[in-house]
Amino acid sequence: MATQPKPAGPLPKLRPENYLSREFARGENEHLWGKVWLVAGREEELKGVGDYLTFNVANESIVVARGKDGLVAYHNVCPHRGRRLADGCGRAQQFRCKYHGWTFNLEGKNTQVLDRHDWEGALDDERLDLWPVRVDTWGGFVWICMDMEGESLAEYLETIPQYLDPFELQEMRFRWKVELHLQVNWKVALEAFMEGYHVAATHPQLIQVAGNDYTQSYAQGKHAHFGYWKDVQPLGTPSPRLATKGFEDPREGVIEFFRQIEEDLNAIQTDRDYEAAKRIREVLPQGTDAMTAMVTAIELGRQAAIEDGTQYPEALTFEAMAQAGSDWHIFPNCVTLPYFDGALWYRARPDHRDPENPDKCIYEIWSLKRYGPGKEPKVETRIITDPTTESVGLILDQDIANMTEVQAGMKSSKFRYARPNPVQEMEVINFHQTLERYVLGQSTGGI
Amino acid sequence: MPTVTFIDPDGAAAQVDVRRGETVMRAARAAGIEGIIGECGGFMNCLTCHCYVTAGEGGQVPAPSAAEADLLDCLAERRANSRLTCQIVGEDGLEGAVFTLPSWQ
Repeated sequence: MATQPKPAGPLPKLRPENYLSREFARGENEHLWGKVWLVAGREEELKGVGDYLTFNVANESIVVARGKDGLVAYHNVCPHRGRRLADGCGRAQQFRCKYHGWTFNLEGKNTQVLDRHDWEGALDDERLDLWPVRVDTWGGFVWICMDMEGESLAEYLETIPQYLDPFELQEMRFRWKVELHLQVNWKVALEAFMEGYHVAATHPQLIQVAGNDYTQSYAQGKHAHFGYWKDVQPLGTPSPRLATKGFEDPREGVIEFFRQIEEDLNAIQTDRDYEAAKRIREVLPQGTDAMTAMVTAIELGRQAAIEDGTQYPEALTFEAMAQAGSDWHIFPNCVTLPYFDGALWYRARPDHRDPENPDKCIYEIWSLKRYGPGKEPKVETRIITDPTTESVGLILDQDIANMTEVQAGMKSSKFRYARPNPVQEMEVINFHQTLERYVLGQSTGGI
Repeated sequence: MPTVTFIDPDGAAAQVDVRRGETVMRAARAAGIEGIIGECGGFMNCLTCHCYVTAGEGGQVPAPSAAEADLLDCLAERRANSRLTCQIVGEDGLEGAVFTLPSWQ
């Protein structure tokens, strides 16, 4: 009996207008950014009472501070004439408008109106306090939501804490920070990190030693993740796409993987893991199989982290790590790749200096690491306005090189829609489905 | 001309002469005392010239006005001897007073 061919599934399509149209960017500014929970920064940036940071997105600016009773967040605007109150980050005892000196305490209450008597009481029934914004924390991140109604952060995150809590991101600290000013849509930048399908073509050096690079991806409500769950091969072995058998000594393949991650990415796994991995040459005999070599390298990394004064995250079993997968899209504008010893965190948004321009974005890359007590470095953000002249490491350079070509290529008259991979690019597909619900309402108009 | 002492958060002391009629804030700024910012210039608007004050051999430092006391309430780390140095004027009673700078300023 002939095998019945599997019927073709519907072809997922993405609208180029989502990346290219000014109208869609305006729609995002109106219907998206003010309705969702967004990462404003890290708790480690707000350690003492009065520490504040500002977070600008679309036409909005939010100031988040540590008040006497915990975190507070307000719209960063003086109710008098509209000047922004705070700029950048720092420590303050109050918010003071530099224009006419109106002041507000950390509770957002108006404390001074210069020459208030001039209003002859007309201000008495007027709301003069700062407009509040909801603020909460998860994973060591400070989250804000401008919509005072609606889901709590815990509800908004859906299954994410269940999968990612075991990594204890709140125990990590900044290892380095880069802020890129890119001439591409914020989604083009973010999506470069939302699937593993690009790895073979974009990072050919990596698939020599990264095991099986074939990924699977799944929606998790508004969010989504991808991982390596099928025909898993240990790190250090070559992709099955390649004819090569890889390193004759599998130990060298594992060490080469950790070397590439350390030197070409400088994130997720750490310098401590690379140093520990090299020790498999001493502790394992020649001829050790690749799986034993990989597991031993990871275990040595774990021991090194503990010796360095960090606690290993107790709940992070091999099973928990496998269930989480490698990469999460946290709707709308963050992506993370977590490991026990470190994590990569990406945050994308329209360039707030030109927020309706769909061809501009701010793209931030945060490398996080577990440090022993007091060992975390003081980290300054490296701002890069021209990534063609300044490197952020081989792997990220390769990703960034795709972005401007995608932004330009999608403007072709022949490019009517994108055709994402239904198995490996579900993060991207789910992203646009969710995004269109916010920006366009239930009807997407179809294409 | 009274001489006062500023103590920075690391414990280092610096002597500053305060001309009669001049404010301690302006004298400290002129002497380059780090941590006395005086962003508003002295009209009790900014809280960036705040110090913890202890009187010296000159006697009492005059008490804060009601308006200054209200403003000091905004301080997260207000103490009983919190003062705005823009409201303290050079006079004999100030001799030997000690101004301790808060660490966050």
